[in-house]
Amino acid sequence: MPILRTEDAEAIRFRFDDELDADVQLTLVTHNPIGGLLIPGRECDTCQSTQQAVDEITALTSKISVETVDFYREPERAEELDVERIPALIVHGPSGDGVRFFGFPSGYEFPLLLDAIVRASTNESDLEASTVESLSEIDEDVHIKVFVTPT
Amino acid sequence: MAAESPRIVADVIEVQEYPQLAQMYAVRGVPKTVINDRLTFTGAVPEATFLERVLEAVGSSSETEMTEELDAERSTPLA
Repeated sequence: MPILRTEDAEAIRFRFDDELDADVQLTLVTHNPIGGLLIPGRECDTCQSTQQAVDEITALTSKISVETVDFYREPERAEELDVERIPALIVHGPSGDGVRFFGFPSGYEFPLLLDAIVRASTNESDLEASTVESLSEIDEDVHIKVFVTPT
Repeated sequence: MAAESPRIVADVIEVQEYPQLAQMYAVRGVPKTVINDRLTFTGAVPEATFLERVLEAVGSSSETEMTEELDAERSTPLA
């Protein structure tokens, strides 16, 4: 059963056609048990639904490509991405890792994901010019965590 | 902001899926924002205020310095 309703999928397809510019790279860090055999301690309740959501979104445009990393079978890649928990969906920006979503991006998170994809593609934000100027002067790494709930 | 600066990484974390993180960061309402593990605030804030917080966190040299603000009207308590 699809996660996206038909009308929502069409609206997203229209938005992507209208707004996406450059190609966008996503990385999904997840766990897909081989043969469905689940090893205790490696349960991931929302990995499958996140994978399905990503599949449905990327089917709506040719401008999004996805690298899928298995957290347990490719630990070096997960470490390289600085991902310590799954599911993780990274929207790579033009010059960095941009925005990372931890957990199934449903509810209020879903439009944030779409916005992050569009911003990564257009390299534009809705920020004030003065904010952009201030951000350009930051010369150390900044790690922002925003805790949210789906509703 | 993360789209504008290569120095900024933003994580959106679904708090109900990661209760240990929620406990670690004392999340009692959402959205809760943590910047460089130094500065925290709860609730939605205007862009200018958010920028101030980011610059404040960058300018702060003490890793133990934490501030906590709860804007009850702009945040949702966790059940």
